[in-house]
Amino acid sequence: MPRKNIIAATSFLLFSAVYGYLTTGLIERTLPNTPGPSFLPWLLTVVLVVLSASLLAQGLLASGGGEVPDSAEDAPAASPLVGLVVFAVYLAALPFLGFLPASVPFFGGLMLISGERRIAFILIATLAVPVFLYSLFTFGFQIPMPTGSWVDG
Amino acid sequence: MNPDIYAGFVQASHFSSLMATAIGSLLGLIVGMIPGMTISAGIIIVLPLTFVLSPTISISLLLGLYAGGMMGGSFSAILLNIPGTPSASATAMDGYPMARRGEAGRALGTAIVASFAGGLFSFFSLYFIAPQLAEVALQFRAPDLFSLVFFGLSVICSFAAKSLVKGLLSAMIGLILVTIGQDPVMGTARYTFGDVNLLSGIHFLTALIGLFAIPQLAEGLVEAAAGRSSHQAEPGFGSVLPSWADLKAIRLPVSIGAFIGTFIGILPGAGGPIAAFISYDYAQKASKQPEEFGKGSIEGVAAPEAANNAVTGGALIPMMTLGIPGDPVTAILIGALLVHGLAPGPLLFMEQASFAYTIIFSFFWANIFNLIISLSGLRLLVKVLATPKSILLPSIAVLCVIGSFALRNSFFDIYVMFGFGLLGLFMKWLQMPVVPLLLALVLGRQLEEHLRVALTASKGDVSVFFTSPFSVLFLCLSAVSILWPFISEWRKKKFAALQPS
Repeated sequence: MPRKNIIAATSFLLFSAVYGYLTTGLIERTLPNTPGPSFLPWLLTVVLVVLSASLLAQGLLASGGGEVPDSAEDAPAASPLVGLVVFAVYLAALPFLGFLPASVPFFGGLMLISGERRIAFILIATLAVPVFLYSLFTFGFQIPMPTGSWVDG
Repeated sequence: MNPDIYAGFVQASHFSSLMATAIGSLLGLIVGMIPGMTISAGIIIVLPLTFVLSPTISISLLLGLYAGGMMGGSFSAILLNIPGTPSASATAMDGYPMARRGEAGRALGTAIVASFAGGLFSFFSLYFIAPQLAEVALQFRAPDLFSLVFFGLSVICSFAAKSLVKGLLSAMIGLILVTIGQDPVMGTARYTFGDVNLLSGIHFLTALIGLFAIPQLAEGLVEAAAGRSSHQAEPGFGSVLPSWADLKAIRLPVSIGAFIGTFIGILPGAGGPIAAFISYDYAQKASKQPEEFGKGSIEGVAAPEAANNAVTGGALIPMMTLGIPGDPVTAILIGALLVHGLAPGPLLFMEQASFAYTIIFSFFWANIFNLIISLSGLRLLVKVLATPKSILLPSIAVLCVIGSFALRNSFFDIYVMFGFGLLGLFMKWLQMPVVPLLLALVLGRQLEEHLRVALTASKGDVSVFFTSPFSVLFLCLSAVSILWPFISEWRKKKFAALQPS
């Protein structure tokens, strides 16, 4: 926990510095004697710095006080990481391939990552579920689905 | 009869609304039952549908899902000792021991009836309290509204976080994200980097889909990797209709649960799990056989179940009258209503009174359908517990994409959703609560608007927040809620010091 607190506090301090810098560039357009568009952002920057400093102090005091460090079991498991990477690739492919051509392989891939090993089941579900969802939303609810620049023109 | 009440009842009782409520209840019971699927995730999944449905049908569907989800959580708690929702955790303490000694049907029947009674009590509270509270809230001016929103945020932070600092930091991130886009008073573009997609700010629902669904997906993948691909309940559990003697035995715990649940539901941030455990504790204290609690007491099932379902109606009270969400689900409901151009708050009862009553009566029907569907279809419903995660997880991922794209037909929203998902995972790793961030996203714009309007009206004089009685009341309540964790910690330490070594 102390290590996590230190990481979080440092990240937030860096973020508040960037946010504060961006706030200096905001256009001031307001009535006299009244708060402008940068009023709340400045207030938030100050509070964020105070809270981050407080979290950093908590982390440093706890690590100095001999508290048990974060355990190794906090390390993320492999399958969610692979799943997230597959998801990111799917999202990147979506504007080019469109919903169905991108979703079919993604669905199958995620089924495999989820531990499914029955090939026939994967093949059927991989085709059936995305096609069902596509038909349901496109024809049933008239909701437009993502189209791809390569496939749909 | 008030014509708005009548119109609301007719709208909520229309065939299409009833169908939507019934489908919502069924989906809610299923979602609530599946361990690891939260009610918020269930609502997110059906959210894209509501964009094309009328506001009445949308809200009927979502309320059915909300109420059904609360009840469904108890089924897996009783049958598998795995609460489907956090609110059903207390139910497992006595429900599962009952199931193990062959009384699963009795425990399930008690949970269904107690949930129904709790939900019905909270419906009456909603029906009688909400319009009165809305009338009071109509007198609020900008300083009062600012203090009210601030109170909503402060309560949420103190309840949602194990660490107050982390809770407040989470809320700060939410408030900072709200500042992206045009400012609410002057319309000046802020932090848009010249991108037109950012001019209207980050859509609350896109953020929400990512914050809730992506961590859920990651968690599901961890479970699947650990070999927990599905859950299988025991096939037979006898009759679920409670006997007359059981109904008599659960009168008191149900009353305790219904009252506590409704009251706690009204408090922003407290939620179902707290209500369930507090009522379990009170029911045990009031019971003639307190020693039976934890070993399979029917009273121990009834009290938390009545409480967690009563929370739903209670949480709708501040949502509808003040525009303050009591929990993540009501925050999503606010988002869903905003998509249809309906802003929950005191003006809802003035400008859209019949719709406000439609919400109230839809909630009534949701409780009725929960009872009917649960009692008649429980044997079929529990088969859902065997749904393989390998189908569930990819379906959730694809539905997240559909949901975020459907909002504005924009790929940008899909990437924002994924970004928020990664943020949610990072926050989870840091053990930082996500709920304050979410609620800051809902309330942040109002907070800034009311603050700046109040200061503009008073020409920058901050004393305006300390001269209005409503504002002072809300600021005092905010101070109590922020200081409460410190006071409670100090009392614990003092108590520990007084104990003999």
